[in-house]
Amino acid sequence: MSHTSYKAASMALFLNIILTVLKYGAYILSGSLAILAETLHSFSDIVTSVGVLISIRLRKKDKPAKESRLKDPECIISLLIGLLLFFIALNIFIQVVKYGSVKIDYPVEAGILFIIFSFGNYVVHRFELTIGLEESSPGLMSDGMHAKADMTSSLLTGFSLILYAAGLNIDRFVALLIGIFIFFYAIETLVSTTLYIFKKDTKQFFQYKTREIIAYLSDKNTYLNLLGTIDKIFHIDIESSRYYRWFIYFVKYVIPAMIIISYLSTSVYVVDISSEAIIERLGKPLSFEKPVGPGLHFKLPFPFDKVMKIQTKRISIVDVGNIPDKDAYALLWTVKHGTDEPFISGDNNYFYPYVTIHYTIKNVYDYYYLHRNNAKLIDMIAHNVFTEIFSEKSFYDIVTGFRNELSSYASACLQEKLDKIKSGLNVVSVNIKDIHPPISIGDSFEKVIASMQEKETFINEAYAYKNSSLPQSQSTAYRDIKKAESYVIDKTNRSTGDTRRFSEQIQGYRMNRPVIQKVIFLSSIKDYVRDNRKIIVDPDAGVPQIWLDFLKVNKDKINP
Amino acid sequence: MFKRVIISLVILIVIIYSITFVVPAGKYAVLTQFGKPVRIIKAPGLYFKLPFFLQTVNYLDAKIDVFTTQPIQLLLGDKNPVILSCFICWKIDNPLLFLQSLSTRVTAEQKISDMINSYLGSTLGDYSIENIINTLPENLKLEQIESTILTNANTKSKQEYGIEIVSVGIRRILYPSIVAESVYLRMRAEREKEARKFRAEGQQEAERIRAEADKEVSRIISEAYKEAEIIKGQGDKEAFKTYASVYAQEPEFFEFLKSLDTYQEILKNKSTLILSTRSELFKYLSDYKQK
Repeated sequence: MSHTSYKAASMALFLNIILTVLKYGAYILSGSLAILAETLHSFSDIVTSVGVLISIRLRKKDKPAKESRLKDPECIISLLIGLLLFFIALNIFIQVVKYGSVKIDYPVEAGILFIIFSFGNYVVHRFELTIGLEESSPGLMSDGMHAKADMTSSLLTGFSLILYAAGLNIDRFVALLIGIFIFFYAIETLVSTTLYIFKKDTKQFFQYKTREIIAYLSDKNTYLNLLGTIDKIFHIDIESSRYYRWFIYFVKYVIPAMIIISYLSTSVYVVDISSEAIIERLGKPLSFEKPVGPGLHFKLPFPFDKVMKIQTKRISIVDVGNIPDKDAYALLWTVKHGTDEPFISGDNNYFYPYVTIHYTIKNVYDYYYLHRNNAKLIDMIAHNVFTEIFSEKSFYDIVTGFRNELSSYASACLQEKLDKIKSGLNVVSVNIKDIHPPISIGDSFEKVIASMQEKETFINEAYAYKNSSLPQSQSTAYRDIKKAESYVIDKTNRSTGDTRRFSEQIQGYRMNRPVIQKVIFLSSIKDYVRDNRKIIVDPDAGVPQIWLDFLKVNKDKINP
Repeated sequence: MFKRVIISLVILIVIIYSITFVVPAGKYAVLTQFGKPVRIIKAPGLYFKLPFFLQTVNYLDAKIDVFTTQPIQLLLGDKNPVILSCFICWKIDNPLLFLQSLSTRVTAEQKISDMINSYLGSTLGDYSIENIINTLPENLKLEQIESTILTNANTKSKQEYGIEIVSVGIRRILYPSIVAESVYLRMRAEREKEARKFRAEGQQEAERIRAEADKEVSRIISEAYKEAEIIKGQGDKEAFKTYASVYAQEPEFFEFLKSLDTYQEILKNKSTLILSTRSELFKYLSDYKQK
């Protein structure tokens, strides 16, 4: 039995792969949203079939009757298929909202192809359901139900494409319907599998359709049973409660009320703190002057009024020129640190500015109704403004003197141009993050800066020389003057001393001039010549030998 | 009964859906009947038409769109080559003409781009590089160029394509790569020139400061020397006065004493003396020998 199920699931998988590839090819050719939805659906079929195959492989041959079905891999796979269908449906809803109307190519050919595909899906559906019931395989049966969903959606897609060729574009509508169908099948699969697990009745499998599920939820007996269970567990007598009676009375209105409330909820909307909203009634804006501000508001329900919420207060950014790398260590002139978009300055130099502009929306009507792509618009105009500004300024002006003014000047020019074209945008700030010359010649610019430093170094060294030599010379001058002054003191004192001594000596000398003179001479001369070598010559002794032996006598002087 | 109500409701919705259409603000609609245009709607609101395929609504965006032209290399009037790219803001002016002549926005942008690049080439032939890049704002003609292109292109685009060109601006200006290389070389040479100039200026200034310092040092030292010598001279004068006033009392004795001082100086340093036994000093020695 398991072998039959396994073969059936393999066959279904093979067919689904072929169908999905063909449908994807049709989507590429036509661009239809309905075909895209259908392709996604078929892709989910492949995943489903693989799941069924795995569950049959894992199934135990001699399954004990009392074993919990929660542990049955087929039940788990079945639940997973239900969840997958649910998310596929959700994805289709998003696609329908996101894309809007699209142009479809080859609609007739694609339409006929899809009607043929629907026949193939019907064969798979019957085949899997029959074998699934025979084999009591919930996985195979859920896959069969899935194939039925495929059939319906393929048929719908085929007719929608033919209608498109005839002039009626219901492509999005069909895509939405396919999404709804898949959603219903997802609910049915999830509910039926859950009931199968708890009621353990194979015959009940997939007998619950969506409308029955809704009816079940609207039935007061459902809640009576639920309350009975609660009574049994917690021993609470809820049935005698007044609120309970009200609840039972109103329960049949719950589902219709929920539908009505859901519809009416389309007339309530909330505008958040940073946004403003425009209300269109049947395409016509209710006001062209006063947008709706933050808070809770009301409008006519779908399809009469449409609300467009636009974040007007939120600051957006646009980069002009270059964008620094996120992992750049530092914005250096000699190391590449961003994109490569040069500008030309008025003095014909290439350079790379990094500018970020912050802006908000000041007129939501101009913003929304007059322009298709406001972010691109401000990007273009900002580039234009900077190109014009840079083309009339020299590079050194841009990086030095004019840089302070550049932000405010560019901001004013940009705002003027944006207002002229009624962009509805407000320039908050223009931020010049970096401006550098080409990386390949960045070192030349750094050398200039280094040479400026060298210039300062030379000058400072000269000042250092001046600062040291002047005080030195001043101290030398001071010393010289003081020396002269000390010389004067010395001279004065010495002359005074000498003259005083002389005056005293005169008085003694005058007593006996020859004697005193002799005394002074003899006492002085002995001291003067005491240490001198003396040669005493007697003229009467003839020629003295000393003249012949002069060298010998004075040898200690010649060779000390 | 329930089923009938549901089916009737669905049929009603389908009929209403097929005979009505909404033209939202910011859109134009061209209603066609088997391809033949029957109505052009520019105002937003709810409108009616024949059901299903009998009449088809073609929506067109009335908003201003913007795009950039492909960068193009052009020769200016002075034979200088430049690469320019423009941005163009445009919108549909005549929906029917647009639908007939262009149909899609992509096609429209291709056509506008062709046209603008053509006008750009012909217009720039009348201008030189000095009118595009210049530090003298009075010579710059960028806005004039943009205005000329806009005026020329608009006339044709409105008549032939149903498009109004709202704004044309130059987005980027570049030189061709070979010129760019030359620009880089020139920039490098200019930087080298600047660097050398700064170094030379530094050396010049340093020399000036040193020379002034040296001059100042010389002045200070020489002035100090002058002052010191004057002081010394004054000291000498005072000493000489003192000596003169006292030594004049006994010139012979003064001479004797000074001679002794001079002898003392002369006989320093162990000089050798040759003395005669006939000298005054050895007078007694001679006498003794004779006795």
